[in-house]
Amino acid sequence: MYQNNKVLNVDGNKDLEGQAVKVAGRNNGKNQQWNVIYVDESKKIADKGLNVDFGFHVNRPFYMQSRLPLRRVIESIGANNMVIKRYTKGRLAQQFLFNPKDKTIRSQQWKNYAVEIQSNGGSTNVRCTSTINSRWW
Amino acid sequence: MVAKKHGKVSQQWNVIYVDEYPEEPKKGELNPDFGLYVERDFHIVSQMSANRYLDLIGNNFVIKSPNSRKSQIWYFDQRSYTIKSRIANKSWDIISSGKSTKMQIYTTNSGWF
Repeated sequence: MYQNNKVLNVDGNKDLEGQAVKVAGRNNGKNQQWNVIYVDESKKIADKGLNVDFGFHVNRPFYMQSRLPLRRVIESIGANNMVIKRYTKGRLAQQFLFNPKDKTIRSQQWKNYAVEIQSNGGSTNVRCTSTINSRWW
Repeated sequence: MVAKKHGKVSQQWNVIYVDEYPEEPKKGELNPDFGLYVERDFHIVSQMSANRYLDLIGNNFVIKSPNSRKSQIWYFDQRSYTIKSRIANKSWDIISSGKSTKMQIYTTNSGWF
């Protein structure tokens, strides 16, 4: 993307999640090179099997078990805050899935809710919230 | 304005008759001057090793893993000659009329300076 000697530039040449993109003079670095991929030509997202990049099996429910001595699992309380609780067989609030489309971890019980760090990643609190806004920052 | 003739491009003009004026590319057609298809959604993918997508977080341009959100979808707007975000229908803009290094999306009077 080039205009008037300015190009889109990944700031600091750091290939990190959430790294800022600004403009800069052209230097032909990889951090200034982009591909335009039209959405109607982009690859279909697999809806099963292992997602190698994220290390999760797609849409396969899982527990998140603490390695503390009592091996409690994470439970979403009322589709919001997340706590550790004793494992209860079949309790959907303790089960989560990896959604390959938006790369979120979703609640099995509240399927439209995903794990996110509160306050746009500025908080230490992790919760399940509507996937409209949730991000794993 | 008028000025004394110096022969530079700022004083050179073409006369194009209305009935011969070329039609502008329509939706789905290529704009050859910009190299982009009109109003056809696209992603902008970094060629750095992780191939992250250009994403809009708030009003900040960042790279993120692909996530199927509208904030990673862009299109070329023939009317304003700008690239717009699907999430806000606003255009790419360099802050401070191009003097800053920071990008934002802004109303359609914005410029890719």
